[in-house]
Amino acid sequence: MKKTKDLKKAFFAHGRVPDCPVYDMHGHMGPFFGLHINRETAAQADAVLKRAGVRLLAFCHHAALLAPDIGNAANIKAVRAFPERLRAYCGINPNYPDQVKKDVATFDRYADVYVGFKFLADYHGVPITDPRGEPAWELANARALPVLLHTWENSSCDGPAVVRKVAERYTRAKILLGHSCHGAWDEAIQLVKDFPNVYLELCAVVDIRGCLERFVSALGSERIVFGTDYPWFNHYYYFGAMLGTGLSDDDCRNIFYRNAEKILGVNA
Amino acid sequence: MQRDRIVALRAFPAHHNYLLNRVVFGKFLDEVTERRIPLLISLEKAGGGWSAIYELLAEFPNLTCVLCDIGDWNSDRYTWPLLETYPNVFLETNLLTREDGGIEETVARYGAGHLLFGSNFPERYLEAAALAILQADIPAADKKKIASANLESLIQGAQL
Ligand SMILES: [Zn+2]
Repeated sequence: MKKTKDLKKAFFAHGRVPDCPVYDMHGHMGPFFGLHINRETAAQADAVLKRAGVRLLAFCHHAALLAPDIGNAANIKAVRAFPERLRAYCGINPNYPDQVKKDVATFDRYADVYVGFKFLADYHGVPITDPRGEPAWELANARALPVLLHTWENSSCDGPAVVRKVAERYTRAKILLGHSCHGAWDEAIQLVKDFPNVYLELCAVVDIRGCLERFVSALGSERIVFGTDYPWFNHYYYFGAMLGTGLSDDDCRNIFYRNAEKILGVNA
Repeated sequence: MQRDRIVALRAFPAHHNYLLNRVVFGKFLDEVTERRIPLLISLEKAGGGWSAIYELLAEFPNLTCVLCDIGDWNSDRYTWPLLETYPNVFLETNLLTREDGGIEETVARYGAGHLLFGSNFPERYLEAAALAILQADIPAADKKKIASANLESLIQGAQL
């Protein structure tokens, strides 16, 4: 297929560009406490993704992260209802170690559902180094699976210093730094430089002018993946932000889909 | 204001250490209301939060008040009652466009007549807000209202 020349022009004209698909590597689903999410369901997600030209949303249902009585069943149900555009991270909450063991032991049963694991350490109040999360890390490391972390500056659960510890220990797992250690931009860059299996993810990052430009000038664009926290943030807003950075189309394509395809082992 | 082509006012009460209320600004804000001069207040930058906005509008219910930087997912429980209660309240859209479905949901409930395009440039990208409005799942006529027509009629309506 002949590649579209001017991505910015094409996205502004059509909202989507068929030869530049998007892999959204950081999503969620379902209601959330204390606020109103406009589009909570898997059916709504599928329609939004289709309209926006998002080829795949890798997500973890809020229930899988925060409602242990429901857990990963919410992920499985959503992906199996809308398998074309949805895949899930198996949610790991180390406060429930028996459930972690069970989810890891049955991971292969859901090969059609899962792409890897997700830790939401700040919310769980448990560091990503906690031994109760180890079964997930071990499997991810053995299989070189993606592990999406929520990462934030100064956090004792998932700040850059804690990320460094897991990156030293698990050298094969593909560690995606959700929010790129938000605020600790230089530490995030250093982690990518120090560990070949660490990637930056752009949710709550690319909407702040200057962050992505800084990452790409320090690292190039091959270790950065696109993400929106959908259904929190809007895809078009994030596409517009990407295109507002002034990065080359080649860099944008790496971030929109090429890097994700490599991480997921998708043959384009 | 007319000579210098100033079409609206902004206020930063907490930042500048004053209270934006009837005791302090009664005569002034009565005139601003009467002359339909838009007053812009940023929820992120003005300080005082939603209760200050609610108190201000209770005292000046016809004030042309543009609420900027309104916050994301939890802001609708603050903004929707204002849209239902006060005829001259407007929302600046930069954070509504950033929130998935924010524009669609607001337009479905209240129409597009009280939304004014904003980007929060230079903190955020113009292109982000612009693409989100262009591709929002709402009628083209509503996009035009948000992008320009609503602001134009506000400016035309102000008696400077
Ligand atoms: Zn998230």
